[in-house]
Amino acid sequence: MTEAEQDQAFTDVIARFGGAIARMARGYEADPDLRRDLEQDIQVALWQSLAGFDGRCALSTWVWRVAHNRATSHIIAQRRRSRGNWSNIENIEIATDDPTPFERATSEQAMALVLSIIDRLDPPDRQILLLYLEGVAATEIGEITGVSPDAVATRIHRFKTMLTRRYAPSGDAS
Amino acid sequence: MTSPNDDSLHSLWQQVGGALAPLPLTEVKSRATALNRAIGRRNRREYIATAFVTLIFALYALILPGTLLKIGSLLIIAGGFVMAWQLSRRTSRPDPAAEATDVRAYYRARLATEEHMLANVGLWYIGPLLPGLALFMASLADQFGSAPGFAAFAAIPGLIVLGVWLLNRRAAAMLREQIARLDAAMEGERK
Repeated sequence: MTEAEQDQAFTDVIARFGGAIARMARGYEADPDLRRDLEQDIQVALWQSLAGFDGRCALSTWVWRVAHNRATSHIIAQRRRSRGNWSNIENIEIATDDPTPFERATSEQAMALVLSIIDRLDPPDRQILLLYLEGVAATEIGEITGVSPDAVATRIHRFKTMLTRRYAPSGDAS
Repeated sequence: MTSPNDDSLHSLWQQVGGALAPLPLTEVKSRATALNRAIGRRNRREYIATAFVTLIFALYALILPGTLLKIGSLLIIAGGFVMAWQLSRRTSRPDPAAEATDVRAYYRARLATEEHMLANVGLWYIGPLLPGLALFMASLADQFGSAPGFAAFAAIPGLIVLGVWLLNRRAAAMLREQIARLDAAMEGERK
């Protein structure tokens, strides 16, 4: 790929995935200033990586891998400073103390819950859920993350269950 | 109570997200070049400390009496250079090719690199300084009137070194737990 082609590919990628990358960055970094830095780092990583894009996987798969991997590096570096603990989704329990059903929660409440769950996840599970929320199909999520489609489905199911339980009226968590 | 459906979650996620502020291409290219310089800056504190150690012990080698003190000082300087070289060699740099691999493999590789670096901190970070430090301290033993007095003096750097080693070993053990959890999840999916 020539540099001109690389530049053009980068411009196309940002036009097509820019909004999705900004949403993805929310799942990795809560601080707005650090998030802006992360978004810029991801753009640099994408431009660099596109020189090696050979079409053996879909462009979207390539873009998601690079973006999530750079974001993973970002949170690993941040964790050295904050000492935050992550867990896989099976090990997270959410208290069922809010009786509001998820469907009737305000967007802000629902979004806050979604982000609070994501923020506690280690990178592999975090990536799966962020891709799911973005509307990426389970098979492509599997290709991007290196996880089987069945495992993807299990984690998504667990995530939805957590949302429901958190917002279920008392005794109606099934 | 039913689980939230896919469409409602997707629309919730997509309605709240902000827009990406695109970087101009010239800025992207300039940052791509500057990235390695930024990594160099990250290690600058260690390099400044090494320069400080070199300066102090070079001075000691010149002015302190006794061959053992001079040799000890020179060995500490040499150890500092080995440590700085190892730090530079072991510091992970963004790798555009590796970043295009699947995210779980990339994450595991990052954890493994970091675990290896921390677990071996005694070898590459502390170890090179020890021979010079031991010789230097032993050469000072005559200056102390009593063995307990020297032991108390020698215990200070000894405890610092031990603390650095233990903290890094603990961090490495935590990373090993994460790697084991990832491997167990992968193994579970194969069954």
